[in-house]
Formats: sequence, C-alpha cells, structure tokens
Amino acid sequence: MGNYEGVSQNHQNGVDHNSQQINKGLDVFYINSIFILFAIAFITGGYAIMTTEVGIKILESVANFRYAPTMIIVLIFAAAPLSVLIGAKSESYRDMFIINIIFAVFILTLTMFPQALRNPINITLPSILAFGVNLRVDQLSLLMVLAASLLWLMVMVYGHHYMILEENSRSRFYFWFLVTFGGVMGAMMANDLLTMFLFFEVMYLSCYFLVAHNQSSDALKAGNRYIYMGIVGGLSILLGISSLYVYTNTFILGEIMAPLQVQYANNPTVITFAITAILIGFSIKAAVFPMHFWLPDAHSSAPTPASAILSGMVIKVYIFSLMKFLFKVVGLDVIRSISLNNILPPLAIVGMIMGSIFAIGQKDIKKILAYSSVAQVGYMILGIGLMNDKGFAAAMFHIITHALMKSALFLSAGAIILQTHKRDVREFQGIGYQMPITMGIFTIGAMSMIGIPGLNGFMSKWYLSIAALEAGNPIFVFMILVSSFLNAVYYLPIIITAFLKKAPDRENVLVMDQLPANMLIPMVLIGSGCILLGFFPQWVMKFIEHGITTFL
Amino acid sequence: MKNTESVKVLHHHDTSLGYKPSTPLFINNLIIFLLTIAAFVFFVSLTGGGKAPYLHETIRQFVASKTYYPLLIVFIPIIGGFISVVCGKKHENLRDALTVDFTFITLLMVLSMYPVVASEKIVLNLPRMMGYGLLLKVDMLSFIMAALTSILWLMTMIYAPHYMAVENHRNRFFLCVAITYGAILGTVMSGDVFTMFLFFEIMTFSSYMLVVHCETEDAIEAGNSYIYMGVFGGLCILLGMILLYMHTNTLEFTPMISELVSMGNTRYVVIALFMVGFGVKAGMIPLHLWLPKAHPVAPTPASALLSGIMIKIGGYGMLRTATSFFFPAVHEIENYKDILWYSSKNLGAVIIWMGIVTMGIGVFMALQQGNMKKMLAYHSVSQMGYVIMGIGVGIYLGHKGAMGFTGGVFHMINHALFKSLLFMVAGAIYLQTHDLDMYKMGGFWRKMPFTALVALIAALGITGTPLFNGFASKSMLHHAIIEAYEYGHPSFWYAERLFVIISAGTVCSFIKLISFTFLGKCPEEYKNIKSGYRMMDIAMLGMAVLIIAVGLRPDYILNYFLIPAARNITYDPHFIDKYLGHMNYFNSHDILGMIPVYIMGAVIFVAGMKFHLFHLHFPHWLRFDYILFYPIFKVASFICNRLNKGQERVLEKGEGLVDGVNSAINAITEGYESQVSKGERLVEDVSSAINYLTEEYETRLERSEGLIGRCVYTLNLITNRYESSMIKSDVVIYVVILTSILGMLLIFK
Repeated sequence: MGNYEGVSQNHQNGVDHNSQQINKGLDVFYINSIFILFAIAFITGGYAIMTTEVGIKILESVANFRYAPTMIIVLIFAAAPLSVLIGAKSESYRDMFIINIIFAVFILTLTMFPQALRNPINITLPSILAFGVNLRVDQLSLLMVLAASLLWLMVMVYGHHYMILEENSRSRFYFWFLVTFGGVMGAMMANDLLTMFLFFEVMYLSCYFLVAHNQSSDALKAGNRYIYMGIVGGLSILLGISSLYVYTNTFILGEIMAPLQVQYANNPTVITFAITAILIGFSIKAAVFPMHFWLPDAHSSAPTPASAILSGMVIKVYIFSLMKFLFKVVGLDVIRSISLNNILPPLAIVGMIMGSIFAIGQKDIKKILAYSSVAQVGYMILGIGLMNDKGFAAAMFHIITHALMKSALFLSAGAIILQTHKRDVREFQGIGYQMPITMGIFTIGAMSMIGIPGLNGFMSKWYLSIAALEAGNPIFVFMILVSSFLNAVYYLPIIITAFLKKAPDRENVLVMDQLPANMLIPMVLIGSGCILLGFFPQWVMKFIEHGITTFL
Repeated sequence: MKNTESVKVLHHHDTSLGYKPSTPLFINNLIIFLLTIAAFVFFVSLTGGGKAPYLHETIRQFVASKTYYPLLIVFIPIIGGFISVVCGKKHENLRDALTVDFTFITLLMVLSMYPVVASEKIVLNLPRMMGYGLLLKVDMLSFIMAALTSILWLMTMIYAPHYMAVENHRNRFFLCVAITYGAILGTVMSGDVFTMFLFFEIMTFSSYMLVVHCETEDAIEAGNSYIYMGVFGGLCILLGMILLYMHTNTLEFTPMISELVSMGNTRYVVIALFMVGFGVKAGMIPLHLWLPKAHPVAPTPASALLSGIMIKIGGYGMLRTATSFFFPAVHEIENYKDILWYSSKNLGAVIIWMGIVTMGIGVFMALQQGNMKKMLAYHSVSQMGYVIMGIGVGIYLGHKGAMGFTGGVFHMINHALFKSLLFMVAGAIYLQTHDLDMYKMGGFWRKMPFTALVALIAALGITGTPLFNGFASKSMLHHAIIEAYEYGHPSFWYAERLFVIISAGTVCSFIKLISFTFLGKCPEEYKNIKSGYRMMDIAMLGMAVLIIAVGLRPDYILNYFLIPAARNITYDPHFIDKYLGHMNYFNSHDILGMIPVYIMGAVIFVAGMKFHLFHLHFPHWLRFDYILFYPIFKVASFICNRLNKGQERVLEKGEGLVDGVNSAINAITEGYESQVSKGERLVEDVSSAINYLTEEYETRLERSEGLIGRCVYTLNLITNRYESSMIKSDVVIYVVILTSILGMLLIFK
C-alpha cells in the first residue's frame, strides 16, 4: 500500500508541475496519433486487396527487401537515445517521435509478410559478436513480432497520458521502454542461441528500469527480486549454451539438432545437464510455477504501460523461445528420452491452479492480474508440454490471446488507478457507473479469462482441451476447467463490486469516463480484438497451423 | 425483509423522479395486444393448412428461401434492445413502446416459421465461425420453445413499464432483457451443443444482471450463488462437450448412442455432465439452491421471465442432449427391446427419481414460506420436478417414451403460462402494498377484483383442475409414470403414489395463497389500496386467456405441436398413433382422479392451519445449502487461506534468504572493511610514528641549530629590509624616467 500512496502523492505533485508542459504540444500529438490509428485501419484493410490486385510490382520490390529484420533492430536501438535528446526539449515531441518509430517498425514488420509467407527470411551478420548474429523470420516469429509491435503501439498511445501520473523522469522510462522493445523484437527473430541470449539480457536488464521506475521502496524491492532472479536465470542459460557449444560446435538453431543427438548418445549426462540448466533459466524468466515468485511484485509495481507489456509480451518471449529451444535444438527424441513431456505438464497444471489460488487472496488489482499471469503461463507451458502439433498451436494461440486479454485488463486497471486512485478491489464500488467504458473493457477481459464462449479466452481453452485429450490426458482437461472456475472466483467479485455495489462517496449515476480519447481508443481496440478473435479464431489459428509446418 | 425495505426506499425516491407510463404507450401496447390476438387467431386457422393452403404455401416458401432467417430472429431482439435503450435515454415511454414492438415483430417472425417447421427443418450453417462452426437448426421442439418464449416475453414487456417505474437503472434492465431474449431464442434454435453452449452462457450472464438488478445486499448474495453455480454448470457442459467431441468428432444433435457404446462407462460421465450442467439452470435437486434465492429478489417482470422460461431452457437442454446423444437412430433399431436402449434406460431411471425428489422437496419447502415470491419460486422447483420426471420417463421407456416426452414438454408450456401469471399477480399486489408477506394480507378481492380473478385462474391451472391447462399436462405425466411401472420396473409404483401426494401438496399450497391473500378480512393498513394498473391488467388478461384456451383445447397443442415434435425423435410411430393420436383428456377416470387430490390438499391445509405447521421452520443446520455446500466452502476457503499463508511465508523466507545473503555479504564486507580499516590504522600509526619521529628529529635539529638559525634569520631580515628599500628607490627612478619620456614626447611632437 505504500506503493499506492506513493503513486497518488506523485500524482498530486506531478499534475500541477507537468500537465501544462504536456498540454502545450497536445494537439500535435493527438493529430498524429489519430492519423496513425487510421493508417493502421487502412493498411490492415488494404493489405488483403493489395495481395490480390495488380500491385504486384510494388509487392515485388517489397518482397525482395531482405533487410527488414536488421533495420527494425537498428532503428529501435538508434531511436532510444534520440528520444532522450528530444525529450529534453519537449515531452510531446518525444512521445510523437517514439510513436512514429514504433509505427515505422510496424510497417517494416508488414513488409516482411510476403516473404515470410513463401519461405523464412534468414539473415546472417557474420562478423558481429565473434560468432555472428543470425536472424530468421518464419511465420510464427512474424506473428509474434506483429503482435508485439501492435501491442507496443497501443500501449504507447495509452501511455502518453498515463505517464503524467509518474513523477520520475519520463524520458528514462521511454528510453528503456524502447530498448525493451528492441530486445523483444530481436529475441523473437533470433536464430542462434547466442543472439537469443544477447537479446534476452538486453531485454531483461532494460525491464529492470521499467519495474523499478517508481523508485518507491516497494518498487525497489520488487526490482531487486526481479534482477537477482533474472541474473541467476541468465547465467544458467549461459552455462547451458556454452556447454552445448563445446560438444556441438554451433549455435544455429536448426543445425545444432543433429550433432546434439549424436553427442547425446555419447555423453548423455553432460547434455542432459546443459539442457536442464537452460530449461531452468527459461523457467525462471518465464515465471513457470515454482520459480514465479518474482513476477507478481515486479509486474504490479511497474507503471501500468510497463505492466501491460511485461505481462502481455515480455514473458511470452521466453515461452516462444522455449518452444524454439525444445523443438529446434533438443528435438522430440531427446525430449522423450529425458522425459520432459512428463515433467512439464504437471508443473504447468500446478502453476495454473496455484496462480489462481494466490490471486484469490490478493487485494491489489494489479497484483491480482499479475498472479493471473502466473496461472496463464501454466496454460502455455501445458500446451508445449503436450508435445503434439495441436498443443503447440494451442500454446501459440494462447500467447496471442493472453496478450490481448491481459493488456486489456492492465490498461483498464491503470485507467481506474489514474482516475480514482484506487488500487484495492474492495474499494471499487460503483466504478462501473463512474467509468463505464473502462469497466466494460475490464469485464470483457475478465470474461475472456474465465472462458465465456464468444471471447478469445474460450477458444484457447477449447483448443488446449482438445490437444490435451489428443495426448490422452482427460485429467488435464478437468484441471483446465477447474482453473477456469477459479478464475471466475477472483474476477467476478471485482465486476460485481464495480457494477452493483454502491460507493460510499457517490450515487450510482451513470457518467462517461473522464479519460482522454488516447487512453480510451487503445483499450476499446484491444477489447474489440478480444471479441473478434473469439468469433473468428481461424484468422490467427490458420496462420499458426500453417506456420508450424515451416517452423519445425 | 431487508430487501423489501430498501426497495421501498427506492420506490419513494424514484416516483419523485416522475417517470410514468403515458397514454400513448398504453395505446401502443393495447394495439399490439389486439394485433397479437388477431395474429393468434390467424395462426390457429393457418396451422391446419386446410383453411388457406395458398397462404400457407407462400409463407413456407418465403421462409424456406431465406437461409439466414433463424439468425435474424436471434439478432432482431438484441439490435432492438440497443435501439430502444438509445431512445430510452431521452424518452422512457418511447423505449418501452419500442421494446414491445420489437418483441411483437420477433413473435411474428417466430410464428411464421411454422409452415416450414411442420414439414422439414430450417438449417443454417456458419462454418469456421468460432473455429468449430456454428449450426442453427429449427425443428418442431425448437419452434415450440421459441414461440412460447416470444408469447411470454411480449406479455411481460407489456406488463413491465408500470412495475419498472419503482426501480432504478431501467435502461440497463431493458437492454439485459433484450439480450437474454435473443440468447434464449438462440439456445433453443441451436443445432449442436457448441452453438447451444455459446447462447446458453450469454443467457447466464445477461440474466444475472436481471437477478441482481435491485443492487441490494440480498440481491447480490442471491446473484453470487446464481452466477457461480451458472459458471460451474457451464464448465460441466464444456467438459462433457469436449469429451464427446473427441470421441465422435461431431457435436450435432443426432442420435448417436451406437457410437457412444464403444466409450464404455465414460458415456455415463458425459451425459451426467450435461445433465448437471443443464440441471443447474433447471433447478434440479440438489442444484436448485440459487433458484429460491434469485427469483424473489429479481424485479417482478424478471422473475416472471426467469421462472417462466429460463429454467425451462435447462429442461430443454436436458431433453435435447439425452434424446439425441443417448438415443439410437431409427434405422438402427427394430423394437423397444433393442440392446441400444440399455443406456438410456439406466439414465432415465435416475432422472425420474431426481424429478420425483425435486417435486417433493420443492412443494415441501413451498408450504413453509410466507413470502409470496419465495413460495412461487419453490413451486417453480417443484413444477420443474414434474417436467424432469416427464423427461425421465421419455428417456427411460426409450422406444415407448413418447408419453413422457410430450407430457414433459406440455408441462413446460403450461408452467410457463401459469407461473409467470402468478408472479405478475404477486408483482401487482406488491406495487400496492410494498410487502410480499401473505400472512399480513387478506380480503384483497374487494380491492383488486380483477387480480383476484386471474390469480384464481392461475391457481386452478397449477393445481390441475379440469378445463384449465395444468390438468392436461398433469394427467399426461400421470399416464407416463403409470406406463413407467407397467412397461418398466415395478418400483415406479411408489413414484406414482408420491406424484399424487405431491399434487395434493400443490393444491394445499395454493389454497393457502388464495385464502390468505384475497379472502378473509382486510387489515387496517391496506384499507385504501387501489386496483391495479391498466397495462398490467392487459398482460395478465392475456395470460389468463391463454391458460383457459389451452385448458379447453389441449388436443390442439398436442396434435399440431407435440406429436410432430415427438415424431422427430426416435419414438415408436405406432405407439404415438395409438396412445397420443386420439387422446381423450376429459375422460371420467382422470377427472375423478383429481377429486382425492383436492380432498387431500384441503385436509393438509386444515391440518396445517390447526397445528401451525406452515410456520414450522427447520433449524439452520438442516438447510440444504448448509449441509451440502457449507462444508465445501469451509474446506475450500481453509485450503486457500493456508496456501496463501504458505505462499507468503515462502516469500518471506525468500526475502529472508535474500536478506540473509545480503547481510552475510554485508558482514563479510564489513569484516573486510574493518580489516582494511585496521590495516589503515596500522599504516597510519606507523606513518604517524614516523611523522612523530621526524618531527622530533627536526625539533631537535632546530634546537641544535638554533644559534646558526638565528644568525641566518637576522641576516635574512636585514637583506629584506635592504631589498624593500631598494625597491622603493627603483620605483622613484622608474617614475621619473617615464614622466620625463612622456614629457619629451609631448614637447617634441
């Protein structure tokens, strides 16, 4: 609670001192943001037409542009220090600059689309980092990268106004925000273990500054826990990678598999040790159940835009990389012989149940959401642990689904904190009348978490259950449903309190949210994404199912 | 009682806001009501097909050519709800009128499906939607439910405006009502479990908002038990669905027991999950707990809808899943002895007894209630028991189960009519008295003669008096249970006896309701209550007319709706022809059979009054929810608490670990630092010692060289003096030279 008081105080002090400063350039920022949002609508709509119409010549030139992955990373890392320089002049221009950079990244991601559909893009920068940097964009990476850049864009539009709440240097926040973005993009496209590790560490360390941004004692404590665990995980991964390299002489994801299997036949102990070390590292960073305890504090004490991207995308990077590691490095034979398929699902199940149970006991809204992330990581790990194509697809689908749901929940929770300064869910009486749109988005996200049909959370549960039954484990299906019920137990009271109970200080009269449009629009877009994906999951699922064939 | 008081407060608060249904609204509703009557007369003349074959054929072709027709029916109420609520922000009367109009349009659209449904099914397939694909399919059973829903909805919407004037948040209420309506239509028109589940869950959540509408603490508590049990039921259905899908690869409602036999006993698990999931909504014991809590706290129009239709959707779901997944297809079986009937027989026996227990407990609890709406809610439980029993017989007897099936569906229709009318009566009384305790009332028939009349009609309906609708379905159910022990196991003889006793309990309960409320002496405080409102009277009139119409001509419903519905299911067509085709309701045996029931009911009533049995309340710990759910709740919360504490402790330990490591590091560092500082001190000591020594030496040196030093000092002093005097002289010399040069320059310019 110390944290919350701190925040509210910050707000009180911060508003007088900063709002005018931001208000000066607000119009420019608005126009720019609106232009970008329209452009997104135009592009996503027009893309389908472009692929079929005679714009082939443009497409040809786009299709042969093979430097997009490198450009994306260079662009982001170059923009980060520039944003600080601009931020020293005017905060609005800095935000405008950042949002344009993210938008440019989004466009660049789209240009990779036609190539990645045909065959994966491979890029090697041989001289860097002694072993060379390898990037590869196949369909699944493209999907993740696309989701990440969209999420960053939404959060950035939202964050412009929200960050007024935070007293500490916003330029610092945005600098690390961009660096994290670069790390995420790089890690998703990485095609060798060392590059992956490099971007992991960049991302991890930069996230520390997002977590501890508040500089309150709670935030610092959470940050400490986060950084120490992360470093242990990172070193563990490094240990594993280097011992694998000693035996296989390569880092590249596809190529390492054959020598690894040969070496596994010769030296099973060492290889098993290396794989275990890497897996422990991954599971610390992805907050798989017994190693999750850094996550709730870290994600809840970060400023809301940071929480949204941390829970929405950053932990997913590790899960996606875990998939890459398991299926491109270790291979199914070795997985079966060290019986990983018997170890991962029980861990996932325990995480699903325990994460929800811990969330029931929490009072702080952001902490509830963070514990819920622990539970949701369990779903994805379960999907991977089933070791069949359907489970894999379900895990991928849940990554996208969860990014939508959790960012909707975090953004709406942040809006509530910004407007009412309430973090305790027991004090949420009547907020449904005070902020109907925000609470509506929250309700959509929460219902989706519970798994109400018509929302995307239901579809991922459906796919996951079918995959579990295909693997011959009805008990997993049962546990998924138990976990859904537990989700209902901690999400429904929040909704009920907000919509039905009477606030002590105000009548339950319906008024519109007192929020600027640039906070409402991202929330509404993400919320409608939840509904759309709930009715038309095949838009993503088709892509994933097709992508798996090129991925493996 | 807390509830009533707060509602009273709301009432006074809100009438001051000044919303009153206006005359144009009344005229609109009256016109709609008359149009509905006209539509019904037209519909009845059309159903035979003989009176206007050309029109029949035109409508059939029109509807059959529009494949999206069912989807349109689902969406019109929802879109209409949004439109009317947008209008309702400014003009509340316009909203109420629009709601009624949209409901009327939907009713007409539903009725216009009859010509198609009579001969074939309307099928709408939306492939890849929601991954699996949605399937809407309208057959006769769906049509019956959809038409029943629409009629009830229209009457309730005509009734609602006056009643809702005492409640807040009317826009939200009407929006949720509209969404619930669309969802119910979708549920009954679904062609597979997946689609059904989608609409079923939407219905659960939108009707939750109706239950908790008053926002009082009672309402929220009742809503909690409703929503958690609803979610639990939904998850049961989902689990059953997934298990079924993995085995058969389809979820469509087609007879598939021949495929399920290879599942072994898992097939019973699957069907039990469906029964539990839908049974929660149907109020089946012991899953009925939410019902007596939720129905009384909802606003009356909502309770009429919940009790009238929504609990039937649960029964409909049970009927649908059991008669499709557990029934063999027509071509697979030869007669009723086929081995494929074995599993449905096992299931049916369980369901019959569940139904009997539900009936019994419902009536028994209803007898003890003083709150009118609570009593009606318990009667809903009991009457759903009749329906479940009918469904059970329909499943149990397999090939010969048509009587149970038709009886069950018929009782759903009848119960919807009289129970919603009874709730409307309770609402009308509540608006005048602001109280629901029937023990405090009496003599209202003088004040509200019309309400008393319709209440009497509804009571005659529910108790099963000949010439009212309940008689027809109850005697069919009675026939069904007799068939169950004739064709099946003899133990159902006891079930038949219980059936009669429970009917007597129902009679007693409604003698009690009528006599306490409308007869006797009017208490002082209610001397000046007025008659009801006109729109409420219209709605109640409509329901009463329907009750009497169905009671007079039950064979119309049977021949044109129920028998075609039964023919769609794998029942023996010869059996249907023989027993149902020419059924005579008003035979002496059935009518005379009602006399002992009435006598027994009256005896129970007199005995109950004499010995004050109606005020008998069980101790707290004997209540159902206490026995069943309290321990579960306690254990669960205990486990949660322990786990949370454990987690916190682990976290603390974790922190402790980190702190420990930190402090250890600190200690080591400090140790090291102290070592270092000690070392430094040593060095300092040494250096200071050295300094000391040096100083000593120097002082000694100074002392020894004091004389020479003094000489040097004096010498220096003298030199300084000399030099400073030298400088002074120099300054004089320079100044003189410079001025002379300047002077020279000035002179020789």
